[in-house]
Amino acid sequence: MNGKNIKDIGKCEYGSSSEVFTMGLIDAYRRKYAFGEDYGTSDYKFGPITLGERPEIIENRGYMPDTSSIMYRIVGGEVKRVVVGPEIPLYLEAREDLTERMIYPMRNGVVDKDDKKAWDVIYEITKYGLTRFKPRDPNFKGFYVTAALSVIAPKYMYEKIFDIHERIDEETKLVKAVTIIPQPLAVAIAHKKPTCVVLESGHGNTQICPISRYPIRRAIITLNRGGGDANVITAEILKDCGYGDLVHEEKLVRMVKERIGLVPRNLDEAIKRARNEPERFRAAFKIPGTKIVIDLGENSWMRFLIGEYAFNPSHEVFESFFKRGMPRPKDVKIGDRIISGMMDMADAIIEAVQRCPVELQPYLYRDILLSGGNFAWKVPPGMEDVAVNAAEKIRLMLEEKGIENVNVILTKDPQYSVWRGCIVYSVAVPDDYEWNWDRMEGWMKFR
Amino acid sequence: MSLHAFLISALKEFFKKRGYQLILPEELKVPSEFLNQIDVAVRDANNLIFVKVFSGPPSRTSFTNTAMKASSLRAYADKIYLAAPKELRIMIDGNVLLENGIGLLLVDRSGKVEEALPPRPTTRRAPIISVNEVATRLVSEVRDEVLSVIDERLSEIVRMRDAITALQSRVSELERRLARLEREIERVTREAPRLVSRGITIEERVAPISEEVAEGLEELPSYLRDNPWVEILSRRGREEK
Repeated sequence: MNGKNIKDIGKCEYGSSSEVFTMGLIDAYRRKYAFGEDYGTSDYKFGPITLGERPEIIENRGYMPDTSSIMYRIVGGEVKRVVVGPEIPLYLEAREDLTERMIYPMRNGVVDKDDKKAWDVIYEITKYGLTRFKPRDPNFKGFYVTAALSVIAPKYMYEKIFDIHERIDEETKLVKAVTIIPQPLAVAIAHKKPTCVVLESGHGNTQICPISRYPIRRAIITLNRGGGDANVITAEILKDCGYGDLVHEEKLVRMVKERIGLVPRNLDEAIKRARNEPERFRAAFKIPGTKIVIDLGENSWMRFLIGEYAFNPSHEVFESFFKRGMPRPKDVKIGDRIISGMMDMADAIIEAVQRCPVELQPYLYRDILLSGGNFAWKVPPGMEDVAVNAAEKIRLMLEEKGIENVNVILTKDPQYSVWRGCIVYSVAVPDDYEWNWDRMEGWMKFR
Repeated sequence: MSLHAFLISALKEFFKKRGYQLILPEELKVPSEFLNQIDVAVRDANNLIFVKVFSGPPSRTSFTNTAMKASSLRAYADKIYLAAPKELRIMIDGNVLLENGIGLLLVDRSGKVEEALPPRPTTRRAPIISVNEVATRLVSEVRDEVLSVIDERLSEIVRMRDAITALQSRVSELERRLARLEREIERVTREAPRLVSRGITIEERVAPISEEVAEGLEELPSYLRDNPWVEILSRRGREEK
């Protein structure tokens, strides 16, 4: 194909539409063997391009069976040292062993460097993912794998992930090339936005990453606040309303948060309205499969605190909770910078954008992508005047601070965006662009 | 039968009747120069008893000399007796025997043996053990020693094996890193002249399309269609060229 220009490729093979043009840029081999891996704290999403729109998902965890047990000794090598994926329930032993033997390798997207067990789990889930889609095609020479890590993943994680893929390739010949990208970049790619700000908010933290064809690493802000913190205030509210006995079950607290938590358009206004119209805003629901009914009654206005806390924990209304012992979100140190855990999301976006060149700033505000489970707030029908979704909340908060004309987009299928971005990356980056540690991009090849 | 032989025979009979066990001189681990000093050796439980028969010229001096020689056996026996014909008792110096803790057995013409003076048990004696005991003990000692050495060597081998496994893993990791660095150096070396010349046409920017026939996707997924990133990413690594 050397000697033809980009347009010629599109025309000669597929015609003249923009889709055809895109097709022309994609190597035929990689249209089949591009592979994406999203290492999320809770789930590992993986699979080849041929899966189409959705990846396969397993929990990011591994179970280490008791190797001293009689069963292990009898069966010997046939019993796995680390079990991952859907097989885990088949290996579970006593409930007491779960804490010790069930390994969740990541905390806020990061694996400790010397946590051998955690890395063993990462190796196993990676191998599980790749071998699951091992093709029979004799022309198959390995996948082009793009792995996505948290934007705050340190360099040693990149090295370890490369080592793991090299080891797997030595064993299976399944990896033709591998590269690693930050998750927010993958989100931007999946949503076709070359210039934007990506907010990725998971259980433990929120990453705010400006992107202009590359992630602008110096401008990245991480808030030590995520869905877990909204769970904390939900638990406090349940205690205040007489349901203190239920707060020890985190899953239940999370369910309550998702069912009754609301993001207010304006917190003070919402509280006032809810107090005046208690029946309209009444927060009551029955926990499925039980006889437990949770009813906040005259305290139903508190449901707005749950949503507000995720976006702005510095509102004065939360002071009474802190005074009674609820922990404040912790600060996070990135390099020599300390980011306050109490910073509201609009301030965090503004701070991240202001670290970018002035000329670029208006373009960044133009598209703000919200991704991750902590942005999945619903607005019940009939409450649109008081409650908003995450995108509208961010827009309002920015507007309050003088930033207008912003386009805040709540990503569709946030669970899959990172994997989709990985697939695009796998098919598009030239095969001969080798990994460069300075730029942190390119293909790492082992053979 | 000579007097000496008669006395020995009578003594053996005496000890046998008392349930003592007669021991052959060859079974004793006694320096050879002392063996001729022992005429009868018996064992009473754990006690080893030697008897020296006095059959020399009947004189006080001769008896004293014999007693002194018998005394030299104290280092190897628990009890020492001097045996003599009963008729000679008048000339026997009891003090010599008492001082040296030697007992006295008198044998009359009929062969009857009488303990005239009991011996004083020796407080210390050199280990006198049978050849079998020596052999058993030696075998046991050697076995313990060999087992201990084997055990030590095994532990050493296990330690070395663990160290080798750790080293192998480290070497593999280093090999991978080295290979990666070599590729990086190769890439930099290869690209350096190109960066200088910058004489690259747009045609060369295009990623070559694989000649391999792959079925792939007939239709692109929604996130790939009209995605400006595809073009942006397909230029990666080309910009600086």
